[in-house]
Amino acid sequence: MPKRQESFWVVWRRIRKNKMAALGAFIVVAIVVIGILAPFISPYDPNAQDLYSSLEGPSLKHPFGVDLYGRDILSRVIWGARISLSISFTAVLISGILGIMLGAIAGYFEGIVDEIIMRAFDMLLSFPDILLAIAIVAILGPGKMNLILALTIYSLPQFARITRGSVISEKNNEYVDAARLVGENNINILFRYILPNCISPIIVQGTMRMATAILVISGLGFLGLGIQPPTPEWGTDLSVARTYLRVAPHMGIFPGLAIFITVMGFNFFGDGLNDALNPRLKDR
Amino acid sequence: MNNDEKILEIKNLKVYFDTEEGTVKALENVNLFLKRSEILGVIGETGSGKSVTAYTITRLLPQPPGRILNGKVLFNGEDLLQKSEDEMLNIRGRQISMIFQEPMTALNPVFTVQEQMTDVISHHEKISKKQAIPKAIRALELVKIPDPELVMKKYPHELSGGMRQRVMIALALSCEPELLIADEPTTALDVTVQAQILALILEMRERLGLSVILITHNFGIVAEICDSVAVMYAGNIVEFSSIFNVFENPLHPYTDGLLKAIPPLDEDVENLNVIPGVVPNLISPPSGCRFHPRCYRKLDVCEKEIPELIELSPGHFVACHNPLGGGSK
Amino acid sequence: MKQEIPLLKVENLLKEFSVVKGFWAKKARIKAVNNISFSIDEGEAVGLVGESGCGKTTTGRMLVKLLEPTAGKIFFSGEDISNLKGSKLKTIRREIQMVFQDPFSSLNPRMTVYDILKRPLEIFKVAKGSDEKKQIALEILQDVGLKPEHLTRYPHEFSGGQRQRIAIARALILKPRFIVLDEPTSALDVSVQAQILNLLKNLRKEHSLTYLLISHDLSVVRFLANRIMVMYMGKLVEVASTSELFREPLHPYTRLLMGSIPNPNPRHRKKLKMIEGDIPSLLNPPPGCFFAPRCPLKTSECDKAFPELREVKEGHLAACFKI
Repeated sequence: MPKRQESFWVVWRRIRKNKMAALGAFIVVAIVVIGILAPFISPYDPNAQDLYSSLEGPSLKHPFGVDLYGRDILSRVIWGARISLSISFTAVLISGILGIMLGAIAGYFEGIVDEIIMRAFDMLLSFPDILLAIAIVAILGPGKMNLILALTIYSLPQFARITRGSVISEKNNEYVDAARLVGENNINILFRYILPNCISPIIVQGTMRMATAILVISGLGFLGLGIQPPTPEWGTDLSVARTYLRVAPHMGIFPGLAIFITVMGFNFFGDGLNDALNPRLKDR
Repeated sequence: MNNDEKILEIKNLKVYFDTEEGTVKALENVNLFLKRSEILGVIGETGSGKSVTAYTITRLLPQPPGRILNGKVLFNGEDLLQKSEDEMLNIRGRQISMIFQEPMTALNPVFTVQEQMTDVISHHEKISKKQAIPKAIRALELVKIPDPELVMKKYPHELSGGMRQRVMIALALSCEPELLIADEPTTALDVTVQAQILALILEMRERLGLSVILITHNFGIVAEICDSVAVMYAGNIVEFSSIFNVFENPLHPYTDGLLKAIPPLDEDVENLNVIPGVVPNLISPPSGCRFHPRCYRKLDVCEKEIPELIELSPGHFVACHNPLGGGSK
Repeated sequence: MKQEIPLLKVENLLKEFSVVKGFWAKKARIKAVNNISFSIDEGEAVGLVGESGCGKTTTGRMLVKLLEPTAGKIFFSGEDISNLKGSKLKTIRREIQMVFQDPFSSLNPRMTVYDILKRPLEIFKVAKGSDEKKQIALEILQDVGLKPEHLTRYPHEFSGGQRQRIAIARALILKPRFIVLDEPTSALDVSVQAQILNLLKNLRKEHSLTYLLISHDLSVVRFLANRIMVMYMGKLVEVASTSELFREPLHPYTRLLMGSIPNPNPRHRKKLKMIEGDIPSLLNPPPGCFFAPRCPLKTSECDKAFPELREVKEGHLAACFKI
């Protein structure tokens, strides 16, 4: 099967054709824009209290309503996007870079190096998803930095695995032998020849990891182990809303919806990217 | 039964494929016939449409993306393209069988040879699987498999490539079809094994009166076992006749050029004849004759008009505005 | 035998592979290349012929130093290169290149033709500035029949034949003396194969190259090579000049091979025979001659030992007791 280099526009066209992927892409772009522009578009200071309107439902003044302390929920949801995205993005970026390096080295050299790296990651992978993050945060204590660390450790094995797999299949190509014959060294062969050809599954993985990271952040927030109040964060806010669900359901609905839509968006987008980058999967 | 009877005749077959890049005009106007108990070689390079032709005959062409726009495939006088899928299920296997380049993809890896063979035979002959066992063994004996009882118990991956292809042929012949379509049956095999498979096909024709369409890119194979040959280029039959006509007196410049491009086995040559250029893209094929950009005998008319496949001399069909004169070479 | 040092000399080359057998992962060792010796003189084009799994590609990959031999020696213009490492290996790489079988997997899809061609120049610091690099790349591109505007394109924009031209250009750009051609045309159509074969023949003259042509196709080897080595199950069974081998093949395996190739001439049909028996497995090779189970000349002697390659006639070697 001849390997094609897919141009950006080809991939974009395929995504646009796939309705779910297009929806995902739209959500992702929208959430990112909201997160970046939070200081300019949020109608109120997310921490400004107005105790007189405590627990008020949605109104023209406060489209998403007001929480227990009289804070505008819309503003908190908008700022929450900024927090969730920045933490998950940082964690995915760091774990991506480290995971790709380690996975690439493991896959390229195989043998003992591979055994050591991958067995260590297998140990991490044997913990159930969120439990690992909980354990790390429980030991190190809550806080933004520890959260990033926990998410990084949690995502690292996934990136390493994916990269290792594609490096192993890619390095059997004759162009790798040809590169060796013209005197390229191992580092160049791995990073200039093999890795650029492994990038599409890694991008897909990155998008999917964003979704999980956001879910874990809100999960930890809900358990009180994540971002601490009063910082606006969807999971934390949801946890507070639990108590008032009967009197003020809007307190829970909107942060919950934000989590749901964001995670769904990243997942759809990731699936769509996968189809667009590997069109063979679309076999009839 | 008349020996000259046409068992298969393809008329004006036109097949397109819809792809992301555009519509691939895979078969433009294919006309072809096969007489009973003949071996017809369909030869062409990558993208010539030879496999698409085979898949259209057996109606195994995936639709979509494939689209049959026009044409008839007359098998014993009946148009296969008008048959329902149920009717085709009956025809496939019982009257027309097909074997493929890589037998591994056509054999199911999780079943033994016995399970696969008795399954097919019992289904077609409406007998029990037990009753089908001796028939399966006889089919394996027919294709010269040593120790058929032993081979019956094996899984496809336990057999060598040549053995697998023999099992495929045994499977294809087990219901005594009239027509066998072999799509590059020996391309994945070594030459010594290839010779065995070709000898086997010849013998099956002698013993069963089988008619065969052999799809290949190898002129040697055609010369070795075929009675007639159809040369395909970019979705058209460009020349069609007996092998002696085609090999010794080619009329189409493409056939001629191709024959001279093969490195000869029995003489030394300094340089090989080269057909300049590459096979055209069938999304936007050249106007007129699709071969004209690569043709050294090109006339003005070649760019404008599509040449029809005509019978230039008795039994020798060619689609060319400026065919080579008879008696060259 | 000539007095001067052959360009390439191979002595008792052996390559073993471990294969895992069965569910319990029993390890077995197979001899893919089994004690072969030969030499190639400067300017020769030698064909290495055999069926799949006979060890011809493994031999080629050991010669270009992509595989380490298990035992045996490889000399390149007198120097032992069998176990070279590091910078010494890099130096020898300049002299020995390879053209691969599959032009679709042998070019990096993310590199333009220029990227592919300029890397060797950079690694060996052949060219000074980027102008000179471009100049050299353009020249080699012209040599292999491509156009200057092809320089900035990506591999997927080319047909199979053009890709193989790019691969040849990459192999030639460092001006090597010895090139291993591993089935250079078996992935190509007939009309394109002719173009590439002509090109390889001409390039050899123009650049005074030495070739080892690995192929399963005797007609391709006949066209390009002046000497042929026939390999069967890891062993060389016959070595002779091309004209001699085609005039009088001696080894029964060579004869079987020649008798099996379909000849594109309907007037000279072969009597295709149904030879019983498959190629034996390398996992448990026959005790004596590996070809004995399929050999028409076989006697009891053949089951006892493997016949050594010996000179039957001047310059014509065969490994068979019965000739």
